[in-house]
Amino acid sequence: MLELEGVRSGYGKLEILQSASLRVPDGAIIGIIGPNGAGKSTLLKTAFGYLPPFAGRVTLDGRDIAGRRPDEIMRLGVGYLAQAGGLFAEMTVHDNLVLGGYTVSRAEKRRAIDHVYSRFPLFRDRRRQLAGALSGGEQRLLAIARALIVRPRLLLLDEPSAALAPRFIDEVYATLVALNRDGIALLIVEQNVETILAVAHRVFVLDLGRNAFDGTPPELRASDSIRRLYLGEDAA
Amino acid sequence: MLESLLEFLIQGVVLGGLYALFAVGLSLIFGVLDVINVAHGEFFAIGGYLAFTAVVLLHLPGAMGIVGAAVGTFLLGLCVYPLLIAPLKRRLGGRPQGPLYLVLTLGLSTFLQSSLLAIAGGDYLRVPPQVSGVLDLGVTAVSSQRLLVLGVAALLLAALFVFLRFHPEGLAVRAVSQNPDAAQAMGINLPRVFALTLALGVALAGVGGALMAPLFNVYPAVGFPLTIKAFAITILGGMGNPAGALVASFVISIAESLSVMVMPSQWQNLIAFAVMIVMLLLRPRGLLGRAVSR
Repeated sequence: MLELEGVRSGYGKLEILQSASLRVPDGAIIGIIGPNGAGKSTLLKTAFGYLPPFAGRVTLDGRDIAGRRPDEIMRLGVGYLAQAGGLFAEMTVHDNLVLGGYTVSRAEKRRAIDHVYSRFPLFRDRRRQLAGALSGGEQRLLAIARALIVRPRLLLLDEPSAALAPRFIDEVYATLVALNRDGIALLIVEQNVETILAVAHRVFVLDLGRNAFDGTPPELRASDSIRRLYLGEDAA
Repeated sequence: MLESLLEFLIQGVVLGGLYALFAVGLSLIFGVLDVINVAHGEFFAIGGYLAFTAVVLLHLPGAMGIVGAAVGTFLLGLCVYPLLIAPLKRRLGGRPQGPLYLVLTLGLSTFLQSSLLAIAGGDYLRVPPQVSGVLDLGVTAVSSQRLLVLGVAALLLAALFVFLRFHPEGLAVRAVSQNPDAAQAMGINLPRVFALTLALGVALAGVGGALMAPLFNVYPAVGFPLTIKAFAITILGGMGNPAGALVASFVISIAESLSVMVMPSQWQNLIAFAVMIVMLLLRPRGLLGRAVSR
């Protein structure tokens, strides 16, 4: 599905990603972890077109998408959730959902929004409320619900658990796992390592803009050096 | 005294329609593109020239002058983003661009004024009114042309606010003004929204130019003083807030109109700028803050 190969990217002339590669197969949950400044968010932004890569290949289903605009990549079936959710805080819950269906027909949008309201009755009750007035966890769920309106095949999520209370983290991840069961592939950047290790099929560790590890969660736990460096554990 | 007050109030409301038509577009452009369009007044002038061409040169009905100005300035406005702003943006990357846009649109303003001068000459041109007659309101008489300006302004601005509130493309414009990155993730084509917003904003000024052509003479620099006044209006209303600009247009026009009761008329033009300076000192966010998005 999504593949990055030897990607170098950054902001202006500042190179953050120095050579990163990863693969997201259909229907997989892939986690990206690593210390602050490792280039995790930069990688997601490059994959979604916010940042054009300086070098390397970004392909979706074998098609080169490097340098395409985010709205073009979105129309290929990829959703993106920014770190803070990326909601339109000064617009209502309903308008946020309507915007989520910007690229689909009116009938399809109405059906999808009805589905969101039946799955999350809270949002139906608060449809006229400004999205910015929801709690942090509710905002994150609304952002996920909004991304689902166009039925993406792949969701890129930048720290979906950031700044959330533990019970909301559980709720957000339960929702993500349910989405994955429905066939949506997930590429998740996460600081909360244990949470991502519990759900991911494969984990990439980035360090200083380069791949430092690529394997399954059990393989990561079995690697003494990685555990010491990135999980803060003593080697057994 | 009461009769004079009513008379000046009515004149102020009528003038407010023109200010609103002009300033709401300027404010919308700033709210969505972060560009202060110094060339806004030249689109007002182009609207006047298009009305002159339609009515005087081609002998078309007055309404066609207004429609021609709207369509002509809209199409010209569509070119501004892809030809001028987008290339500069690409060259600059993520660096702050506000002052450079200001210089860019100042250059566009000079270019358009000089082009109008070269094509049409510097003569003051007269356009016959789209409607004739005077409406007697008892305390004062208002020309039908001025009422037409107010009526068309009310209609167009109501249509604009309904568009922004309910139409999917209007929602997209509000989304871009609030969070361009998130808007792109919704599938919204940012360059398209920028071009459309700029075209809509300058088309409002173009219609204003066509409507005012029978009241003012048309000449290349006719819109420039209005641009300067519109800056004061948008600062009062809240930079980038079209609803604020609408309210501020009437506040300024009524204040200007009523001022002649207490001070010499040559001081009238200072009102807007005095209000602007006071506003910048006391409440720089303006009356309603910045929010195309609400």
